[in-house]
Amino acid sequence: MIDRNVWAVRLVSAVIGVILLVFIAVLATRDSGSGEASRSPLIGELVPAVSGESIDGIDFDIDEFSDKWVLVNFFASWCVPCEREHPQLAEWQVRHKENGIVFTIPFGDTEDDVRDFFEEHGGDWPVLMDQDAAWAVAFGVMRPPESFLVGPGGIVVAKWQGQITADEVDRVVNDLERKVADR
Amino acid sequence: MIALLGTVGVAIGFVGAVGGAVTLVSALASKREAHHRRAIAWIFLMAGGCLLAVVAMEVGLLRDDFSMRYVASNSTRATPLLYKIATLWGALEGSLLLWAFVLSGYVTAVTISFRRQIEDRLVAWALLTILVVCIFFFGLLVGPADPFGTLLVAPPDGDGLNPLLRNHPLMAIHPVMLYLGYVGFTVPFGFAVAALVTGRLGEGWLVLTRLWTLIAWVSLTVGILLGAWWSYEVLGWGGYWAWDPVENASFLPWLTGTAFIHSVLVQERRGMLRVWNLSLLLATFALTIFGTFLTRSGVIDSVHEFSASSLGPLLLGFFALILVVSVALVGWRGDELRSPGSIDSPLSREGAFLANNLLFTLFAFIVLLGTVFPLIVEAINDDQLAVGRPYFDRMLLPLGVALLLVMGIAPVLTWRSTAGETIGKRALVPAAVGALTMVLALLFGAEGLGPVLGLGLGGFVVGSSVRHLCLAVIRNGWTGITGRSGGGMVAHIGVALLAFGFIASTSFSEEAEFQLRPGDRGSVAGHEITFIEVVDEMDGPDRVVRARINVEGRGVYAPAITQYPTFGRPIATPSVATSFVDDVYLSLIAIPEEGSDLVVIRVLVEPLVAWIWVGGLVIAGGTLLAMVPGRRRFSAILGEPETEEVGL
Amino acid sequence: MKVRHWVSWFCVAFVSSLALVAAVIANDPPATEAERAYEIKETMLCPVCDGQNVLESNAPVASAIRAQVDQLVSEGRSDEEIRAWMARQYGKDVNANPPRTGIASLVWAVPVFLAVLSAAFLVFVFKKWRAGRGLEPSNEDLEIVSSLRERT
Repeated sequence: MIDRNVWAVRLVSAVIGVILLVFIAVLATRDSGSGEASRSPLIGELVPAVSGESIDGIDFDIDEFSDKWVLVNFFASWCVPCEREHPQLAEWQVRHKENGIVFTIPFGDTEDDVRDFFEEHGGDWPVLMDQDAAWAVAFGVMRPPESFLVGPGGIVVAKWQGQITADEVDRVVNDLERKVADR
Repeated sequence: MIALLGTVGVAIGFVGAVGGAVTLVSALASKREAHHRRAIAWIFLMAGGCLLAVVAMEVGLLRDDFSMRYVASNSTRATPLLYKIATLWGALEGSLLLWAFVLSGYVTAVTISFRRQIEDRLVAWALLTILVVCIFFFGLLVGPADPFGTLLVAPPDGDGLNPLLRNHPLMAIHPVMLYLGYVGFTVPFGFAVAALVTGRLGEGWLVLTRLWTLIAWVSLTVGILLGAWWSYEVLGWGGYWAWDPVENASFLPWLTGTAFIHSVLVQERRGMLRVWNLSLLLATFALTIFGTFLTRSGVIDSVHEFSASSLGPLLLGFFALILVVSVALVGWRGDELRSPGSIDSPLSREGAFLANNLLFTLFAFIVLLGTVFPLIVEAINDDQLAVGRPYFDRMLLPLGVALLLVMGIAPVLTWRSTAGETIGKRALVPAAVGALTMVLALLFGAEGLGPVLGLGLGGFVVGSSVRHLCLAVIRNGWTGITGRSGGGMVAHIGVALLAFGFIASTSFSEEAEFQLRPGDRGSVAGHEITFIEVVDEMDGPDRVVRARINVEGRGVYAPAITQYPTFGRPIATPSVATSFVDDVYLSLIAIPEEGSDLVVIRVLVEPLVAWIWVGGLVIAGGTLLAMVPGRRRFSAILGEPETEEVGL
Repeated sequence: MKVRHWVSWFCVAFVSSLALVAAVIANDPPATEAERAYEIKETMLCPVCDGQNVLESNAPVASAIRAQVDQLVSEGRSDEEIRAWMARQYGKDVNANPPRTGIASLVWAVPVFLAVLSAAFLVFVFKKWRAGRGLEPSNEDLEIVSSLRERT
């Protein structure tokens, strides 16, 4: 009788112990923090439709550039990392004069502030004002700066949360171009 | 120089902890009781070293010594004094330093308090266990989480913390109270392990640690409520509890800890529920470490989260160690934990406490499940899903209702068994108070089964607790409100007040958004607000835009939006017009555009919110009263049937 | 004495029941478009906040999502469509409630299962311990008692 109780207790403890250890194993294998490029459910999907008049009054439609690399950049004039990454965007645009284009869509900003920003920092690419942040939501933007790389064919291939560099974007561009060439 | 002192301090702390532990191990092994005494010196050394480290860090912060990496990352010249002091615990390494400091404080206090009993094996094992925990934390500080790293070139100014962490004084107090709670549970944990190891599984260790457990518990309660209050005053969404994973992590040990402090009453009186008590306490301590792991491993995203670091695996490993040791010890001694007594009837105090344990455990399990479920699902099929507030609200509501019921019924029950007639007689007035509360609530416009029932049960609890207190005071004079019985009833009244505030503000709040020009008015739930003007000014490097609003009958309040140049996005600060009836909560949604004077204001009217904080105060007061020794009758051995209540 | 107590309890029970019924009746479920949008916004999490839904948060992304939800509701999209679309770019964890199907259903089912189990455990424990309660007096004992009584 006593033995049975002892074994019952030991069995229950062992079972609880095993459950807890499995729990620990699950926790141990979790990702802590994110790396450079972020996950986005949008990757692999067709880019959302973006078309309208830029702040310079020229009509733009993202589908017109389906044969090129498009870097869609969500920024805000008051956001410090956006200011820091701006020259890098310009650099990337220079490198990809032939096969790429940068699009900027301001998030949570006014047109006047955006104009002032571009006047001060330069940047010769289309800037489209977002109605009610509809495009931002369509892309799943959380906070500026966020950038999306759209490959030829109109598929979203990468997303970056935070400040980016031209080299980082090109890392993905070159990687994919190499993969296509290898095929 | 200062950094060096700090490093030395932490090293001394580590050495002290190791020395104390080694001394105790050898003393216990050699069975020479007198040798236990030698550990005392080591413990004082550890505490001294830690004090030196804390002083060094504070000096570095107050002197803006940006050659210290921690100061440069987390402080700025412009930070006000109070927040500079609080920056000690504002980031990862510093928070661990605070943990070690509080822990060494507790160990020192325990050592002094038990100095005459230190030759007792139980006490020695307890100190040894606590010292092992110290070794872990000091080890982290000496190694991967060193707060005293230096920079070769000191920058002219520091980066500063997230502005959300330095715009409200509650931020200075909340972590300290929380740590007093978390760390405080290390003491009863040590004694529980000691009891299991030495085989002295009776009530001795419980009685010895009773006061320490209450201190830890009340600190944790106050810490959690301060956090909720901070969330309410600062984050701007009008709520105070979002079932955020980190909030849950602090709530879990509170749940098992509360079950524990109630359940021990049964063990003290009748020697029962021993396995429950040990399990609850071991779980409470394990959950404090689990909470530390969650906030410092990067596994979950949150404003509370300290940066992801290599500490994750170490903390997880320590957590695993504690679980293994706890389960193994209870499994080993399990059979000896069988109680001499048994529950005679469900309608008894013992039955109520057992139900209480089950309810709290289930509550804690659901909170834990909801918190880690996203991680589990991600591990299984790589899917990302969220378990948000609606889940917790819905799942936990019935348990909350059941707990209120048990809280109201238990004082009316007697030990062993209660005749139905007795219950009927005793619970009548409290039930009437509950019914009256429901009627009053309806008259004030309440609706919905859950909320009204909850309010009614809150009234029931108040009636039952006041009845118990009145009887105690009639019998024993004013000392009737002290001791665990009286103080406990006061604390229960506090819980009922908190429940009133919680139910009313969650279920019956109203809100509206207004676009206003200067002079415009708006009205929500009978409160009229008038927009006066916008004030746009610079506070040092920061731009603060305030909207001054007159709340009828309460004065001028100014919600604001502040732009911090060093921090990504602007931060909105709400402004709250509080009263005991309701809070008028104002948020500025958007800064007016250039050339426009139109502001967007959100107004929330939340009834009875202030009673949450008042309730918390009463809980704390009740706990303090409970710590005053009251008149007690120990009938644990005899188990005499009681037909009338005397102070526990 | 007893009757008075029964009457008092009856009154309390009656008043309580009335109150609860009145409380239930007063509460109606949502119906209009605005209410539907409100309910969706209430159960959609702001992606950059800590557990706040898009209705409460004053983060820019939250107001952007609110505007989109209003737009989609006015276009006549169903709740599932709206949630699925938001999940497409923000991830499934933008919805505050986990789905009721698949492995996620466990998070709903397990607590209920455990609650039932706990209640059963309580009943079992009480029954088991009640069985060991006091002995009934035997006939011999009763005879001794009655004979003693007769003497006095």
